[in-house]
Amino acid sequence: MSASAVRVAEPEAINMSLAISQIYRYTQGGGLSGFKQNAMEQLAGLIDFDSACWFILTGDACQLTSENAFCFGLPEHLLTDYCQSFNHQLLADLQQSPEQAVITEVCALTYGIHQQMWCLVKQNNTQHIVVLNKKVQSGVFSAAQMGICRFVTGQLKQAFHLYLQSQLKKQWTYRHSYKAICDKNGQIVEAEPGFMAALAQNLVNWDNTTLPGICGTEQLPAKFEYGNIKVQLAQDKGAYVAEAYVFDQGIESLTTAEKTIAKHLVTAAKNKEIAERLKLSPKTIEHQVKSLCTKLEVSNRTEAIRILQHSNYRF
Amino acid sequence: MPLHSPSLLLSQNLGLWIETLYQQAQKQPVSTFKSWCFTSLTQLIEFDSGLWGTRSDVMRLNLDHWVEDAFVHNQPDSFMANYFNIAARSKATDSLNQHLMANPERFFSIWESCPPEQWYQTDYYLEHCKQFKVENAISAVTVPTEHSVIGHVFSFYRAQRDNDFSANDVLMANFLLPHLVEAFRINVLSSFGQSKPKQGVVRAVVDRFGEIIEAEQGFYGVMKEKHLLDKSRVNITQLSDITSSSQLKLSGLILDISFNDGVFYLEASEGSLIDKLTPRQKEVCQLMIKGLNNQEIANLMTKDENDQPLKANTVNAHIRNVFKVLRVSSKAAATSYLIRQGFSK
Repeated sequence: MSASAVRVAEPEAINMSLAISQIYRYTQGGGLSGFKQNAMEQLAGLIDFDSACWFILTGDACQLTSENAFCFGLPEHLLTDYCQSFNHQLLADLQQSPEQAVITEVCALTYGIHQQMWCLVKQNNTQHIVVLNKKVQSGVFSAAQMGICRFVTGQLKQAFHLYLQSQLKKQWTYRHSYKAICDKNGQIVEAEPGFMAALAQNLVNWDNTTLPGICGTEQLPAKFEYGNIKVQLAQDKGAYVAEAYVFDQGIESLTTAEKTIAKHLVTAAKNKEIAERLKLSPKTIEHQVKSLCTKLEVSNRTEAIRILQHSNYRF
Repeated sequence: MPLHSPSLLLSQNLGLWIETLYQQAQKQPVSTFKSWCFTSLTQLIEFDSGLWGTRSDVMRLNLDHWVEDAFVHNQPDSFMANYFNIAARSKATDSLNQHLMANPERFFSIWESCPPEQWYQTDYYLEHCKQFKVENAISAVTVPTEHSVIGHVFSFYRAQRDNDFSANDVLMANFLLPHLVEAFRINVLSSFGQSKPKQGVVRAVVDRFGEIIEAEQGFYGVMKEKHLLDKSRVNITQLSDITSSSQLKLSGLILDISFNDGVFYLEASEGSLIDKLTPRQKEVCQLMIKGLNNQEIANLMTKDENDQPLKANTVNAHIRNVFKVLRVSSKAAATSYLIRQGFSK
């Protein structure tokens, strides 16, 4: 019998089962914060707590920050405080015994939190930490509640990763691209198999976990070049999505205006029609189509359409 | 109520099993998911065979087509047919079904929910039990909710009469019930996440009565346009007779239907105009989409039946005909259409 096994009476077990199935309900789409909000609400239905926090640490990171936290009924300033009280020692303790009741002194004194339960689960290079807080009036956490928390945190972790995986199935900017979801520093959290293969081919001595050069990038979307593939990093519903695609010199060199024209060109519109749609002069369009053809190294628009439609770019 | 209420041991293994269930739901195709579930469930509940039916009219228990629509695990094809033969001769199934309907979302031992004198002591049933080794059974139904038009019927069977399902077995089954239902939904939804088979195809999963379990964006629009939609249900009467994967042509739509134990995976498309081109026209098209002019195409084409080289005018005539077939008026438009439809070998 594993150490964290816990006996639960029938009605409690059924409630728990329903709550867990509800956590998984929102894994197939929608926003990340909505997904997390729902998940924490389900947990609140099972364990009596006053406020909670869900941290997701990637790689070797040991810093709890407001960026990797999802707060549930917790004021922001309180978060900063107990992020500071988190340290390597506590992380090591958590990894030793996955659930703990710890009271950090700062919180207890200042904000009336007298009971805390920390719970940690790990998947690949991602660690999920769930912290539940109680005020003194509402009593202590029981062993059964710790068991439930441990059980549900495992499901939170899995649901989170399934949510990311289903995000990867969405279509992004490029047609034949591979996607991955990473954190702000380029640590890969979830990736399509093709993504890892494409990068491994193009990066020498790659560590298989981090996208080089991404750390500290402020402006998104941003592009990174690794060998003959490019990776576009963009933010979508709270996740950083990296999209790797084979780089097409011709299309990359098109200007924004030419890309707009290209979008209409592939629908086989005539110059005059494009001009009407864009409210530009037909002469301008004619000129831009010509320069587009030069850049794609083709002699007429039929060929250009073929190149554009076979290309990676999603017009 | 028994004095000692059964309790469930929430072990790490159970947690891991649930994680795997949802992961497989997202990974497996609709056709193999139920089978995977039953094979894997044997780790948690001991049973020898089982049944999982899925449809919108589960509350009415319309018996038609259950024989094809239920997924049976570890039983021969004749199992359902035989069961319904008995059901038709015995009124006792009614009392069983009524009991299940009155208590949805919970598993019940069949012996408990149905007094023996009414049910399992009939000769027919004893014969059925003997033939298919069904000596102990627990069953449950789930009913449609606000999120889903679909209900499910589950049964687990054991082959040994003295090997009764314990209270803990029933609790475990009850614990897993919402997960099987939710995982089924995720399985159906994620089947749309795979890349499109072709441009212009819209997909949905429906049950035998046309009730839409899940549909991809655009499906409702296409169906409405063709007057095949009746509120949340597709109006395809032919569905009620389908027992294997097939293709239907309706109001100009081509419907590819894969049948899986009562769940129909529909792929609707308008059909491609490319299929209407002659082989010679296709040959010309292959060269045209490369951006060649008529003279260049003529030079590259194989000679005609009199062994004369092709003239640009002949190519021109072919291309005019292609325009008519594809309903376009320029080479650019034709090329655009052909490539969008995946015409380039």
